[in-house]
Amino acid sequence: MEHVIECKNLTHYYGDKLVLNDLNLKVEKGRIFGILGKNGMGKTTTINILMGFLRPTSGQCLVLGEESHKLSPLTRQKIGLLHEGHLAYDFMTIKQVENFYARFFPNWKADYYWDLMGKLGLKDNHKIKNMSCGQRSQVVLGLIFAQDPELLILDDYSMGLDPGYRALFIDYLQEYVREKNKTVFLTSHIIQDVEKVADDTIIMGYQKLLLKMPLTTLKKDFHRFEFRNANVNGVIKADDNTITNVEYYNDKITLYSFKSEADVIKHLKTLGITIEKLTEIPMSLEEAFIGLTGKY
Amino acid sequence: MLKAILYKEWIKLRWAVIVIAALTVLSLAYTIGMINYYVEFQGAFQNWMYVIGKSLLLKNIVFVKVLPLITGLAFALIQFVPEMTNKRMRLSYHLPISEKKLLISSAGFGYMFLLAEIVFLFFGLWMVISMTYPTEIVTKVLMSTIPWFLGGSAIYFMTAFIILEPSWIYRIIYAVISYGLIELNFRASTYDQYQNLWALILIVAVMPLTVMFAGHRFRRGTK
Repeated sequence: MEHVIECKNLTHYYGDKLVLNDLNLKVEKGRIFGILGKNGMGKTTTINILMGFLRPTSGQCLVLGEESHKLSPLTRQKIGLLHEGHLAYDFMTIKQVENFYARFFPNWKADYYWDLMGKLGLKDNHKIKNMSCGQRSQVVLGLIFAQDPELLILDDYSMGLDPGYRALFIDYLQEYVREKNKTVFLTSHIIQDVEKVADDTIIMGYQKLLLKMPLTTLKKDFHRFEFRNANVNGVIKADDNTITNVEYYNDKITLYSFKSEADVIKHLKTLGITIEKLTEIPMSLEEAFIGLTGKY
Repeated sequence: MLKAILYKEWIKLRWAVIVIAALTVLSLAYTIGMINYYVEFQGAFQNWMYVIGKSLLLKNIVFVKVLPLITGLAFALIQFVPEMTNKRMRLSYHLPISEKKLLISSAGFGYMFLLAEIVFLFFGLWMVISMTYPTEIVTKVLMSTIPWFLGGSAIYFMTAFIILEPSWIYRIIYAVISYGLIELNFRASTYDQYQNLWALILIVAVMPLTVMFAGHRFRRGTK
């Protein structure tokens, strides 16, 4: 199997509302993918389809070679899921939840779980419902690690976590994934975290995939240029070839592009704008994300 | 894996099982007191007339009517509300066990506990009534209470069905239908009014399918 996840022509409607339109996506083994997108761009829908909780209107999504909405129990055994809000059986205690899950997974690695629980300093009979969100995140992460899955799908893992627990979560995840050569597909609203942990980024736009590429390539090839000219307001438009996005603020024009400075200058010349030099402003992943998707 | 499901359901239900068992013991103790009171104050002959002619026993063991109902309702709520809160059922659906097996075992184990409570109540009642009345009366009373026990089973399955259903509109529709089906079991107030016991048993026997149906709709992401 070449790809751990493979979505082909994925389309989904909620009633009449089109959410995903002909989405194609391939996720290679052994890498960490961070999926980013503004609210309402189909991120959760994609995750729900991958998790098998939603059947796409059309198209196909294969997870570990099987259609995501009818995964066999054996394949589900190889997928670790972290549900939004660190969903857990909160009526159970630390010990009970481990007892429960251990019976479903033949490769259960209890040490991973108990290592993390040891750091929480809570008693084994502590109920999950009496834990903070951060503590619960450690329980869920410990259970996923102990399951020893091939693929980890982590839906908005940072939700409700304070900076300390977020850092802890990322540290453990990174160490575990690198050591065991796992594939991770994660979403988060904290883009700085994705930047820290992901090898590849997938950015979703309105009904479609905007890009999927290694983070290093995105950082190297995606540029932000600035120049000042009071007379070109509205002249430069975003297109698919040279200018990915453009922002006007008084006389300041910000251009986002995958092309080099020379190519952008050449493109501006075709629009009747002559300029000698553009100022390139380095970008974080968050700024690149806003550059790609726009502020509104 | 089935042991694990049983373990989970037991964790949720254990306190309710203990409380209901305690209520059953209290209710049976009350029945002993009640029978002794009537026999003492009415006299044996008068009591006999009331028991035969006015279905006195049946009218005074209201708890047999109510306990299975409370138990069925409580067990279904305790088992399935935590699963549906924050869509926690998704955790169960991701377990490496088939959807059918998961739903059958979850509802099956819950029903097993309910059945244990019902059997306990049924045999308890049998013993208590047998202490004073002849076999004919005991048989009549027990036969007349069977629909109430079936009502307890019905409310368990229908409550689970309604909780697992993902759409609120459908839930309301199901609740109205469920009320009608459960109420069928509580119409008679005198002995031997249930000529259609098999029909009631058949209705309850089909009810587990509704749980499967709602669970499958949730799994498919039906809104």
